[in-house]
Amino acid sequence: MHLELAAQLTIDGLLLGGVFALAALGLNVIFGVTRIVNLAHGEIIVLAALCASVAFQQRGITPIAMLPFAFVGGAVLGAILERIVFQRLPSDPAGAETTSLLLTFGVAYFIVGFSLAVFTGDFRSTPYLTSGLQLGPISIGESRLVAFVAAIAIAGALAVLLRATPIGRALRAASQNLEGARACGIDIGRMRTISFALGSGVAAAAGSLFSMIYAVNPDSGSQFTLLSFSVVALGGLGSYAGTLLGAAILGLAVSFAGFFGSAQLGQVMPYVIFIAVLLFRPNGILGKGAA
Amino acid sequence: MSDRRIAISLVVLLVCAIVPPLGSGYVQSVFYIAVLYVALSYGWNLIAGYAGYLSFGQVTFFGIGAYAVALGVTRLHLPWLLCAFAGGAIAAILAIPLGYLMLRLRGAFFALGMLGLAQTTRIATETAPFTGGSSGVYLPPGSNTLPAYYWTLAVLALAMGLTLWVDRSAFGLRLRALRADERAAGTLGVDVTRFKVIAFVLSAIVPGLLGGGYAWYLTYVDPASMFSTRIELQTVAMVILGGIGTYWGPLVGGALMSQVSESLGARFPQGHLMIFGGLIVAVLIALPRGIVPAISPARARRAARTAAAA
Amino acid sequence: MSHTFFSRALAAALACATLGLVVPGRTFAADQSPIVIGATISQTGSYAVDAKYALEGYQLWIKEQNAKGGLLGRKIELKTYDDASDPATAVSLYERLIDQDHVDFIVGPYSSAITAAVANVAEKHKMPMISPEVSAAAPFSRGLHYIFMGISQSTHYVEGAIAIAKANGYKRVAITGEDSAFPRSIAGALPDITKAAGLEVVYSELYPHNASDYSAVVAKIKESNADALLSISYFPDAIGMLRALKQANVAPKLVYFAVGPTELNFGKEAGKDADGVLATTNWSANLKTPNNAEFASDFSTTYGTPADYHAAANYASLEVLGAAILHAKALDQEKVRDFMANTKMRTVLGNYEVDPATGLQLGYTSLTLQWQGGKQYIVAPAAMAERKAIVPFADWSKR
Repeated sequence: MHLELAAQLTIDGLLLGGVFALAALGLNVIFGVTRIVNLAHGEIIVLAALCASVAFQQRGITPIAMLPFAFVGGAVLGAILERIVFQRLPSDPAGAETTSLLLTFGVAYFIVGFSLAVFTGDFRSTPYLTSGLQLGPISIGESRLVAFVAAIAIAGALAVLLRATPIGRALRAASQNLEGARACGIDIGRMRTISFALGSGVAAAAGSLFSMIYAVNPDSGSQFTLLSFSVVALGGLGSYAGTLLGAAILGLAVSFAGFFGSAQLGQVMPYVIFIAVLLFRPNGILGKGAA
Repeated sequence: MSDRRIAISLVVLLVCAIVPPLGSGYVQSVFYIAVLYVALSYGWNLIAGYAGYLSFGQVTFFGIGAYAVALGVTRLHLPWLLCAFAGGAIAAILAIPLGYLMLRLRGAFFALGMLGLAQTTRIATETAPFTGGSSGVYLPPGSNTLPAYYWTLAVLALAMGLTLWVDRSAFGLRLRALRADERAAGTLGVDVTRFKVIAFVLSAIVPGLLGGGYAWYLTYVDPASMFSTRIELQTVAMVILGGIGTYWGPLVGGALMSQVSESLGARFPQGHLMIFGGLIVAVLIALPRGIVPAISPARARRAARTAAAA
Repeated sequence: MSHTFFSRALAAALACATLGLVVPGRTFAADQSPIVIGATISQTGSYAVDAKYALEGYQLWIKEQNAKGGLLGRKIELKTYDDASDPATAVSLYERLIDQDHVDFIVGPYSSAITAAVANVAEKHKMPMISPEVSAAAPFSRGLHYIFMGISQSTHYVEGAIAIAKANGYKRVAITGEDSAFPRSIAGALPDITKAAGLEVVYSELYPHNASDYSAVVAKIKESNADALLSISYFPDAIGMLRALKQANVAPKLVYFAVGPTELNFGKEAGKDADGVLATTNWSANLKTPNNAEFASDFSTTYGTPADYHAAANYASLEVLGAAILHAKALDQEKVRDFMANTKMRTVLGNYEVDPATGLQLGYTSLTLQWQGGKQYIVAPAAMAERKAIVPFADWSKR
């Protein structure tokens, strides 16, 4: 294997990692704070991607220009979902976990139906930034570079938010010790709503950028959910650096396995790795909370 | 009270046994689909409802059963029924190591880990040389509805029997204890791992047996249709609606959902997914334990008491 | 008390459900009743996008035929259900169409998987069924007598592209595609076809459905130094592959994507990058087949969108069924079946002719199209070409 190829595969892997990280960050926000796995996560990404694609085709609004709208739209959606759906959970933690998993499952179904009704089953994407930059023998896809940069930027912003702002500190407190946070006067319900809003907003932003990379239709959501979950599980809950690291590892694994093994092997890498890691390191690589 | 449950179950099974041969091909196919999904629901309920481990990947075993029949009949020229039994056996054997492995994960990790497993199995089937890959396997054509149906009905009886046993037995009690609080159950002396794996294996045998009937019914298998997320999600939805962890839940959920699906699907092909999702959310909010415990508060109280007893 | 209530309710519900199913439907008076044609359509589920205009294809033929007085002096009606892309559901619905709705004739559903299962129903009831959307040979090699292929065989698909490659001296061929039934059936036949054409396969691999990344595949195509890329891709993966090729700056001299680029959206999605891409279609609005121009314009007027080959294939299948009914002068399943097996006739798709023993389509051919200047043009075979194929595929920087 010569150097050029190795370099190209590595770049491809890291860029893919950027895409994975972008997808996973929103899930980590919600999961990290509320311990709720939002099974509708992929559907929110896809809904945003579909909206971005239509916005481009009909109004010429680029996915980058769409980012703030996508974020706000996603945040509002997340907040509404949380308010309607998660108000009454069983008091025992096992029951609450089961019920919330099933609730988001129902929400996912609903969003798929809604997307199908509005957008039909057609595959849509945004033909923007489709070229590759040439750095000598290495090619770097423009849209992927944007996703990569966005992932790092968003992860950084989230980390700053959680550490430096009062709301962020409250969110972190709620994620670390629910009862303790409540005792300190933190409104847990409000924290949950905020984390859902934040997580969904980030997911929608990711979706907007994804429309440049993938052609999606309303049924495409579940792959993103599974992929995001693999990344978060691998990198560790509550750690955004972990998400970036886990995504990078998975991206590289897919890239190299896809080349030296087969495309199918590349496709199953995320699942295989995440299961393997969870069995030997249940908290993920940089995880803090219990799995 | 449990005698009444057995009596009603037998009546249901008897009706299901007598009616189809008297009806048209359509009636038979409707019964087949209904019985298939109710049986799948009972199977899923064992690991998800009683043990509290929600799996989004039981269809892995369904597909294994389907391929056991498809390959056994076309490559080894064995009678399909034998292959269907073998499918169940293979599913059980594979479920043991898989169970020990996957059940170390909890909650959402387990759920999505199992989904990942189902996807991986699907892709493995597409690439393995002996499975016919993504082209699938064509079984000898024929109208196999009734034989496939009676096999499926027999598996339903088995699944209901297993559920009844789990519901009433000491094993079931311990299972529900670990569902409520695994660590506490462990400290009380429950061999948590062993019980979880047993529940997982039982929950794998049911779809493993059913898959074979499905292959025989359709006379064609391919990875996408056999390891189908659609089948998995429908099963999950049925049990949620009916009442997860209860005896009648899968039956009520299954019957309800096929009716809703049929009437809605015809009138609103696009919209009915939205209605479905909305229904699931509404039922979970209003009736967090599903429909059956809501209708029968005494039973719900009993279930809650045994859960809390651990 | 709640137990007895519950059990009684359950028993009552079961009884009602059973009775509802067992009591037979109404019977119609023989002469004035319309001729009913039944089918399932994949309106939801994974096949929904591919089977998009299937319903409209059927509806248009029926509308046109009724305007001309129907068949045998009777109006024609269509009865369809959504099979949700699920084989078991489709089987049940076809039984319903036949047993409950008493349709007079049936036409086939989308996909090999569903057709393989539904074929048993057709065979059991001895009702002939044309399959307008299944081009793989396997479902027709099972010794069944009542199904017929209503579209050209998949093995012919890549012939046009291969001929172009051969004519231009593009000897090194890379073969990829989605790992699902239809691409596999084509990819399986390709090694022999390419060898016969004197081409060398330098890379061959199928990628999984819904792949999250195509860069590794593209890297391998690059490494193999292929001149021609034959990729049996549907729409989303064709877009994914095309983008990956562009981002890696890989431009084989011939780029072929089987199915994806036949969609009109492809030009919109890919913009200038679509130019030069080859694909295979089974129909074109400019085809000089009987009634084709009227069909094409009628379709766009009625449905506000141009017809595609799925709609045309479904329309053509009813052309054959209609001709069979007229020939039989009665609603006779056996006579219609024999006609379908033995006739040679022209439809909007071309020359319908099947192998009487298996039902495999022998007459229809495939057309190779190419995107040029943002539009689709037929470039092969020569007799039906609208324009010449433009090769090589232009470099990415020169667009």
